[in-house]
Formats: sequence, C-alpha cells, structure tokens
Amino acid sequence: MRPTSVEVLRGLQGLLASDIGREVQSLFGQDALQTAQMLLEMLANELDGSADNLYRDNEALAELLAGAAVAVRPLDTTLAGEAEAALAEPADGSLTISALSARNSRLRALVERLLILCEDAAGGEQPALMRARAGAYRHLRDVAGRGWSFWDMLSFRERMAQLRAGGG
Amino acid sequence: MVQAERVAEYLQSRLPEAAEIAVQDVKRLPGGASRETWSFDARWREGGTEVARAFVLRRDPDASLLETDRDTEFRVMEAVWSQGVPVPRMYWLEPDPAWLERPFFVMERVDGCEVSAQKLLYEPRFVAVHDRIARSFVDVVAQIHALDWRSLGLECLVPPADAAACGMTEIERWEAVVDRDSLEPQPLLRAAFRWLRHHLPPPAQRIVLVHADYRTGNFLFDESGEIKAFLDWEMAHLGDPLEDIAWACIRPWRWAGDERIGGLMPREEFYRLYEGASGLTVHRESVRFWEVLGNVKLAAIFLTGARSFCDGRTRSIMMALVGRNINRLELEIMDLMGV
Repeated sequence: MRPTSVEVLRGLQGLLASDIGREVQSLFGQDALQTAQMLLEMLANELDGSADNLYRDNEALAELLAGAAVAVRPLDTTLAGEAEAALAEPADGSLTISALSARNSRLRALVERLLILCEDAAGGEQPALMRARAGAYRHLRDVAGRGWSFWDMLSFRERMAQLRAGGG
Repeated sequence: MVQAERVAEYLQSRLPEAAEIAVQDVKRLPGGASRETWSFDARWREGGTEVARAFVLRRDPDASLLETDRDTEFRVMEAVWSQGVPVPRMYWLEPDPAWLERPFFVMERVDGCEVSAQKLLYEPRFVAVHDRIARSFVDVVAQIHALDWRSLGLECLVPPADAAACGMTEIERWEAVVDRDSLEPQPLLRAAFRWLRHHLPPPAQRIVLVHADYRTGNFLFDESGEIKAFLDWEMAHLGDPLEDIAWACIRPWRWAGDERIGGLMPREEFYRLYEGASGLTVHRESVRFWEVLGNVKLAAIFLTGARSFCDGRTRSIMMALVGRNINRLELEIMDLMGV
C-alpha cells in the first residue's frame, strides 16, 4: 500500500520540520519537536526490518542456547532444563511483531541467566562455557549496533537540513 | 502550567515585607529531565526600594528519569553555594503541592550564560575559550571533592560503610533500579553488574561529596571561559571521587564525537589537571570500573524513563526516546568490559 508506513513517517517529519516548526516559538516547544523528530527518525529506520530482525535474532538465540546446553547442565540444571523446554516449543509460525517479541523476550531471559553464570565463571577452566559467553556477547553486539541512535547527531542534522530544504 | 498569579502569591508568602509583587515571563525551559524547569522574572517594592530578580523554579514532574529527593538536592546546593562552589543561589523549598500542584523549589537564575554542549563545542566564541573552560571544569570538581561534607551537615547523604564499600554501594543502588524498572530481560546489564562485582576498585582515597552528574552539558558558561554554575545535583551522594571523574569521561558526554573528554580535552590531560588540583591519584583501572558503572547507570536511568512512559505516568516523549537508546550504551559497556 502506498504511501508506505516509512513514507508516512517521513512525511510527518517533513510537516514537523516545516509548517509546525515555524509556528513553535518557545524553547521548550522547539525542544519537544526535536525529540519527536528523533523518535520518528528512529522508527523510520527500524520499521522495515523489525520483523526480519526479530525472526533472525530468535533463530540465533535458540542456536546459542542449544550450543550452551552441555556446558550449562553441570552448573545449573534448572536453566538447562528451561532452555531445553523453550527450544522444544513448537513455533506458531506467526510473524507479528508481538509474537516474535514475546519469543525474543523468553529467549533473552534465558541468555540473561546464561551470561550471569558465564561472568561468575569467567577466567576459569570451562572452555565450552566461555565459547557460549563469547557467542552471547557477539549476538548482543550485533543487536546493539543496529538502527539509529540519538547519539548519531551528524546523520540527524543532515536529515533535518534536508527536510527544512523541502526534500525527503 | 505554572500560573504567574500563583507564583506571585507564593512569593508574597515568602516575602511578607514585599509589596506590589509582579511576576512575568513565566516560561518552561527545555532540559532538566528529572524535574520541570520554569523561568520567571519578579519585581516588588521593599523598604522603599524597587527590587527585580530573575528566578528558576524546579517543580516535581508527573514522572521522571530519576526518582530523586528534592530536599536532598536543595540542601546540597545550598551547602556547596555557601562554600563558593559555582551553583545558583537557592531560595525556597516548597513541599506543599497546594501552591503549584506539585512540590518545587526556587533558585536564582544565572543570566547571560549558555548550557548547550553543542554551542560550547561548535560556536567559535566558545571554542576560543575551550582551554579555560576545561581548566574551570577540573577546578570545580576538585573544589567539590575537597569540601568537608561533615561540617556542611551532609551526613544525611549517608556515607558508604567505609572507603572500600563505595563501588558496591553504587552497584547495589543501580541494580535495584534495573530490578524495579526493567520491562524486559536485560542480559547485557545483568552481565555487567556481575562483571562489576568481580572487578571492584581499590578503596576510595577518601570519601567525598560526589556530584554524580558532572559532565559537559550540565554547567553554565560564557565567553569568559569561566563556569558560572554547575547544575543538576539530584544524584549527589557521598562516595569515591573517581566516580565523578569516570562519569565525565563516558562516551555519551564526548559530544564532539571524538575521544576528547566532554569534547574539551584529551583524557590524559584531564587526569593530569585533576591530580594537580585535587592531590588525588587517578587509578586507570578504577576509572574503568566507574566508567562501566556509569554507562550501566545511564542505561538504568533510561529504563526508569521508559517505564514511566509505558505505564502511562508521563506524556513526555523524551522518556520514550531514551528508553529506545540503550543499545549504544550496551556497545560501550562491552568495549569497556573487553568482551
């Protein structure tokens, strides 16, 4: 369907930067508008890939937990059992963001406990656990490095200049 | 809204000798995410003379990035002002919500200054005085750390049990915030808390008043290159002076996008100047611990904002924005942990 969701978000950004931006005089109002622009920038950057990212993240997390199971079992049988149960759950096939997020949360909660175990064991003689630790951090890096952040000020300034000039 | 008439009535209650009190130009200022910040001008007659003053009023928010104690902030700022630390002069603390719907305090407005980190780093008139601002930045933090907090009556901030307990006290403080406010699993933050527990710093060289939000973007400056006032004391507590040094160093406050601390000076120069001004030693591994903690703390603060937004306790979209910006902090934490 056109305009796409991303095109609509970009349109809203243009409206805020031009017509509405000109009407807002107070410093507080301008600051709030800039915050709104940043949120729209973030959503426009994320929207198209969000289901795909969640789907792939869930696959990667499942693989990570499966790989860590042998190393975890002697240290925490409950965690090992819960990870096995989560991995054995039949996929419901839904690609809605809410369903993918719910699965993602469940798996991340297990990785949270896995990492606590790893940090307590760090420096010890448990190479399998340390491999799981390295894999977990690698995955978290991949996830954290995605998308637009409000610390990417340069790209944001360029976007705003473009919008004020009337471009998308 | 904050109504000028109500502010005038409040001033009258605080200034019984004043007559013909007029309040104008009441406006909300951006920033100050933990409390609303309002500016206003007031005039009155007192003892036959006309008085004109500029004020800032900080009112409790509907919800906040930080759940902090306004009494503590007021008391600390009042105490450090009495010792010549550049902060706005504090006037009145008002816990009664009947005046302006929520509790607030009133302080001096320091005019003719800027606070924006962007202006500090990019406007030529301020770039020209970066060296002086950098020196002032170091001198003020050393001045804060040299204060005798006992004689200032700041034991109410509850010091850590001993100099070795500073790190663990802060870990526990911020872990409790993550416990309370997380809306979803936080594997990286949980791992970082564990890492911090296994990498505690040596005991603090002395227990000092820690500003706890000492950074570029939190002080008023002008073209003279002097810091006119340090703001945002709501997280002040007693602890390890290197906590402030590391917080000033964390990447989110390196606004220039390079490695300069606060966008102002190279790290080693910052350490050297601070050691010279304070007489303390900057232990590199301790700073690493406190930088990991600083990034974790900022993430915890963002989680509080996100929860306020998702629980419907605030309409502030800033809370939504910060909640979705923890990812870059996570990258920084992993870099610092070396994982």
